[in-house]
Amino acid sequence: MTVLQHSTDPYCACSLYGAALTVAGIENTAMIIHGPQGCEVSASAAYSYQNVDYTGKLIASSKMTEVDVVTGGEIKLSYTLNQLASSYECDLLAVLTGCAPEIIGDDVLSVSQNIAEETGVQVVPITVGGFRGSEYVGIDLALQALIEHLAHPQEKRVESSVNIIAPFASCNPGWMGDLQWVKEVLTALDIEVNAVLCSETPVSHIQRMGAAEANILLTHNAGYGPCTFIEDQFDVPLILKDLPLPIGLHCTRQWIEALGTYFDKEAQASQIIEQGEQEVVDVLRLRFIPIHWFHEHPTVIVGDFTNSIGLLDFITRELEMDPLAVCIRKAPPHARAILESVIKDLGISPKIEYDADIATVSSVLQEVQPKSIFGSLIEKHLGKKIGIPVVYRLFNPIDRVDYFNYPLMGYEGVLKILEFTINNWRSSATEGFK
Amino acid sequence: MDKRVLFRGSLSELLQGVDTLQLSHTLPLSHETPCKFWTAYWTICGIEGSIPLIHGPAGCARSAKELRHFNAEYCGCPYEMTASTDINEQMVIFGAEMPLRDAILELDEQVHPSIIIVLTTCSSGIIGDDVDAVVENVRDKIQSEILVIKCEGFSGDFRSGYDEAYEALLSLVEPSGTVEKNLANIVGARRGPEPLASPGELPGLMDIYDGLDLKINAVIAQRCSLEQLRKAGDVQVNLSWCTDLGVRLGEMMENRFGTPFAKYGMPYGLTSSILATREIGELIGEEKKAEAFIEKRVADVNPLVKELREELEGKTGIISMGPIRAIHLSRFLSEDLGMNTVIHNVHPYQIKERKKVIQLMLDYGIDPQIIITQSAYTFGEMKSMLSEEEDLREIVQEEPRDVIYFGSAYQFPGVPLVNIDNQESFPHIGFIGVERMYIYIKAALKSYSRPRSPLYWRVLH
Repeated sequence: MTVLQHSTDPYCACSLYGAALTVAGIENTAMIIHGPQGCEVSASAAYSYQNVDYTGKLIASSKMTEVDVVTGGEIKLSYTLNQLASSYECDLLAVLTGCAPEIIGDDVLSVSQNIAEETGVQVVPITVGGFRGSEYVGIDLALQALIEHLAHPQEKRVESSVNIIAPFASCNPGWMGDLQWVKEVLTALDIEVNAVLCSETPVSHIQRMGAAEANILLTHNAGYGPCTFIEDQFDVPLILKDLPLPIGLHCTRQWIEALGTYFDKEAQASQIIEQGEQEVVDVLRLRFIPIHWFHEHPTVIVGDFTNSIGLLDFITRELEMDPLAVCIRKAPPHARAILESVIKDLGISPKIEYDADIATVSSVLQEVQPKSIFGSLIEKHLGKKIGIPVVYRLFNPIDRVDYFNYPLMGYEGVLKILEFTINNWRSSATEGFK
Repeated sequence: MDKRVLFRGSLSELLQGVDTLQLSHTLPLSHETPCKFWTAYWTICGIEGSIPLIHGPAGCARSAKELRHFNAEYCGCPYEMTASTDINEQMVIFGAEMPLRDAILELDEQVHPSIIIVLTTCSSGIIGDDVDAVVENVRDKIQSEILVIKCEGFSGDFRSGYDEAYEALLSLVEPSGTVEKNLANIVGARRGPEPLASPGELPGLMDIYDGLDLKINAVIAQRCSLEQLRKAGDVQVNLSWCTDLGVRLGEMMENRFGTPFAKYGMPYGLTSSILATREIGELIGEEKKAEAFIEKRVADVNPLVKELREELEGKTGIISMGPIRAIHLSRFLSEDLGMNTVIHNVHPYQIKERKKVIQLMLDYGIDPQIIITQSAYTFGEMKSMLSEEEDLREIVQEEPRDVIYFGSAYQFPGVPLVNIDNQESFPHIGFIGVERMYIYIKAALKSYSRPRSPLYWRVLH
């Protein structure tokens, strides 16, 4: 079905951006983009997605030129690292390489090692030239490099504790709300968060990640490789790995139950579920949200794995919608089985497009002709062209400014999805009347 | 203060000394600027129905095409595709000429764009793909027009991306040999349908062009069609919008097609608007019409200028904004309003990269005073903003005359602040712009005694 076999109109950024997203989540860490100046602009955008404003941005670029491409960029990198180390009192310097220095073969590892010795600041080189793959590949490469360089074996294990891995690998613009909700659930279950990789993370938390009892991967887009590495190196297993993330009532129930079971806290888990589900029902009654309108409504989901699997379950099982297609932006193989198992369980047969680019999505929409789309600003404009006026904008890139982070996960997430859905539907309908 | 000041002198002195000054031309490494690829991409997004084919990893396309999202969301354009050959590790090793060829053929067959514009990136540049040869080989096999722009991110200053793109676009112009009277192009747009850097600026120029009964064939490259571009060599005159980019494109077209070029872009204030109108009038042989229009517009805005002059003459205007706009604005303040003008922090880098245009402005008789302080070199976005505010406050304190500050409300030097960044203050240019500037200067004079909002201060610093 992929429309273009030889080119792509991409949804996802490159591995350099993914690595920048990861590093921007570490406290007091300076990021050096070793490459031409344009790469710095791309990487710098990662900070706002990690809730770091311009006062907290520690970034510089070696600004490679043609001369550096011919003669090598190592001296320039060394100079940039020195300048950063002397300008900021940071705990860590992370060097992210663009395509150019990787292709010409700059020895970034040696330069990093020399600067670490000279300045006494830890330097982690991360080789993430954009040609290595999508932002999710970059997230994996960055996590792997950070863990390899920084994490140490721990003598003691912290009982009932978890590491939360890669919560930012999500197209929910308010993903920090997801992280917050998960932390609240963990607190309610008396489970300690040992480290979050990476969101407002001190370097010391990366160092101690071997002390956790388990890892929870808060994304389906990335992180499987690094989690396997942590398991091999520190004997910290990845749990809940075959379950969809907690989006929608059913998936949330399943996820909390599994968490409760793993840590022997079934009773507390049941209580959280009962309270949460009741809260959803109460709000729907109070606001009289007409969910019955959605019955058999033909729709399409265009998003990432992290959000689309649970969303598909929710709109099918709980909203009784008719999902005609699911288009996944970048679809790592390990998460495909989870989506396919949910589809089997729901007894539906939507069209599935993995690694869908924008041209493919446009073609799918024309083919299946839904009445609405769950997607982003991009689908809003594709919908306009094709004549699909209702687009529920849940995902990045988004056409609004959100001052507060909100979850799409959990019970508040269910209500947030419904709130966006109803409001987008209303504004589209009003637009139609004009 | 003296130790903070790195340069104090006229623009002409700065230009003369830019290569020999003890000041670095290099921007701080923390200063984020786009690369040549980005600016070339932005420019070609101004061609309707074009498909940029980025010959590089998908990330280059994804980052740059935020502009197309913006254009779709805010400028009323349909969403237009940006294709990428998605160069991967294997292609880096074995070359990506065949994938490029296949991508061009496929796009032509499946999407039928009016034009495919192949842009090179760092990866395809370094591995040495012969993009020109690939394109020449497929040219006869496709229906779409096709162009190549060599714009590897490392291969030049970001401003050279505009030049490369303009140069490539001009290869599409097909002069018929017949010049259509009263038809013109506006040249120097750079980000597709987004009206240059400032929304609503074009009306200030259109007012003048309408007054001279000029019809516009194309705004290059602000959402013009391939057809308009082909016809761009048949116009009577090219009109500069942005002095910097407009001059580059206008001169290219003058040399190539012999089209007269009205260079005076971005006319801030009455004197500049008159000069710009007169220049166009002379080039199209409509001097009388131009004078009649000028007379009418001067009658409209002269009372406003007089009133401002009465209030501001002899005072000092400190300007802090983009260098070309700042220089243009200085003429309005000094010649129309009788102010002493000083531009704060024009980085030597900006002068070096714009030597030709700066000389043109000096030829027009604009030669303001410039002060460069340490903050121009401060490392780090946050530190640099704070340092600039400190420098600005000291300049203001040491200035013996009353000061009016023209710039962004990011800074707050404790004197009347004319908020040039205010989106509603546009257009700044042309006769209409004088009316706008009047409103905003009056607002600044009225409210200058108000303190800086503690909320602003805390948010900004």
